[in-house]
Amino acid sequence: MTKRALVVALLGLTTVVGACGKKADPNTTPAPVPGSVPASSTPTPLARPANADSMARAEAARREADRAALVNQLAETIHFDYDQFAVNPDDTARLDRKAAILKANPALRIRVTGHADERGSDEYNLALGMKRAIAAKDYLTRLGVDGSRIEVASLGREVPVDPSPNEAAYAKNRRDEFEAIAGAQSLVAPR
Amino acid sequence: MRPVPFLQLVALAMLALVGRASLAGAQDIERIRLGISYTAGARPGVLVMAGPGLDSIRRIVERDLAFSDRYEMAFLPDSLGRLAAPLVPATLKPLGVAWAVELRRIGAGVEVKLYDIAAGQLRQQGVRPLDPAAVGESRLAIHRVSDELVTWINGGIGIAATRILFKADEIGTRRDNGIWRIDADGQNLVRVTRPGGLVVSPAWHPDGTRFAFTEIKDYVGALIIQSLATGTRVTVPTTVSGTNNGASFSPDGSKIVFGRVAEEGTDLFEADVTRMCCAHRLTTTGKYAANLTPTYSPDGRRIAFMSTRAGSPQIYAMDADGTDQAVLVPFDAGETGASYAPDWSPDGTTVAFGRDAAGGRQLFTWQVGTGRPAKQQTSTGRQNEDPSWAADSRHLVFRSNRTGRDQLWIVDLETGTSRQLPTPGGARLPAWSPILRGTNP
Repeated sequence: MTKRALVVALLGLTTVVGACGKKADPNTTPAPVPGSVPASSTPTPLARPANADSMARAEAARREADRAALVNQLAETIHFDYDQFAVNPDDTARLDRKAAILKANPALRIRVTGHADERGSDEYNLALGMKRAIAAKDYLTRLGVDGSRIEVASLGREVPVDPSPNEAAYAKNRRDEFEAIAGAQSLVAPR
Repeated sequence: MRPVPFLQLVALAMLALVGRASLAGAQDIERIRLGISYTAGARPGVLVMAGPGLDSIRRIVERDLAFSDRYEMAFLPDSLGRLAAPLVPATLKPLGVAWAVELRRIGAGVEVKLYDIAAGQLRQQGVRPLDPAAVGESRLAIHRVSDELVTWINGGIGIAATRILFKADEIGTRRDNGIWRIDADGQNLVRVTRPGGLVVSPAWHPDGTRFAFTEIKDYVGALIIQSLATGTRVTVPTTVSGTNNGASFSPDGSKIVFGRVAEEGTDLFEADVTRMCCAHRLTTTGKYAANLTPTYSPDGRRIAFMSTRAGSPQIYAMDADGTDQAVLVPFDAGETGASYAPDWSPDGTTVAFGRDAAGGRQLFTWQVGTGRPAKQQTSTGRQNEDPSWAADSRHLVFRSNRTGRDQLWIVDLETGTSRQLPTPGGARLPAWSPILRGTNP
């Protein structure tokens, strides 16, 4: 999954969040509670604080920001050494956060896509990318995430984030990308 | 083209003769040779001359014979290579020319004559239907004449009537992923896959009319067989999960063997492409191992491939049914550099591959069945890999970054001569065709 696709996924989530916010719009008339008795035959408009609308908007924005933060953590890329597929110790905290989000959201499913730098053949790098994706999946499953919720794929050297032929670009391109493929519409934060 | 004393001699001699009525002036030639030191090489000198209107054909034949790396060619400007009258072999003997080719229009065709200059005899002749315009697909018929000449002179296999498929992902500054085709002489570049999608691993069917490649879409790499003439595509069944790549056809064209990158591991599979069915696994080495880039021996009985089963990537082989898997190219664990992407020579004697050496990756060859160590064949540039044999089993096309970016190069293993193919940027994964016969596109 490319960075552009991740942005699209994030925008999609934002749209869903916006739609959910509209459904909870406090300005809409509440449905009558079954069995309740109206206090008066002439309905009296409920008194509302003057800042109710802005408070609701702020709450919706806060929830959207929380959700976006979770999506961002979920999408954080991890990187690998040249021709290696072992998870770098610097990246374990990122994977730990992903595992916590996955465990807090049982409906959430993700795809891990491994990538490689341009050195070596396309075929070898497709295999290497797969090993990198599997390594991340194995790490997450060891933390208790059900493996059936994690798909793995490889795009090898085919989709670089930086096509420049230098070490800095190579380091950026040796990576796993993470993408929510289901259940990301209603994320809750890990406790 | 590299400078050769023979070429200088012939060119100087021919230039001195221009303006004279014919090439019959042996006395003139003797005079011209004064002061020129010519040491005959191991390769015979060849001269190609043509009648009016055949300059383009002459130039193609001249270059084809040069690219065979079997001869010292005299490259003549059109004004010198054009024959007004039939060639007189005896006039060329003082020039040190061993063979002379005469091309002349006969009706709708071109008469090709090969003269043995030392013997003063016409050795071979025939009329071939050639297009003097010499563009596009008509070039292939001219290349076939060049290959006939190689056979007439040496009894050898010419490689002019061949093409190379490859992947490239840059057109100028734009990233554009595609499979391309180019004639072995570096002309006639054509894109053969449609725009869009990620494609890798082109592989020729042995009949030369179609090829297999991998198209990656929605995280699945399916194997597709495409006709070069019509563009018709067929997806190989059972290649619709994982990323199936690095395919190789069996010599009889009935089977295809390929690597499948999947969560359970990267393993080799074989499918029947005559009945389009029956894919089955040939290797099983675990999810963190990879078995890739298979190549059939020319008798179809063995398959060489790269495997990481012992850690470092090395070259293994097995019977075509997947049994008897063992190391093919000997290596010393921890010392021999990682080895990749083998290709079995058409004559069956040699396997070529890329191997890490001295901080880079170089082409190596290994003589099958010998105890001798692999021989390093390249040293220029840090990355030379993905070799593919020509039909003559002496030339390899490969990817090299010796110019600072990925390009395709051809090396003649007998002379060490190399040349670059003019390709789009990011060229790699070359696959050299078999000899393309008369019905090929």
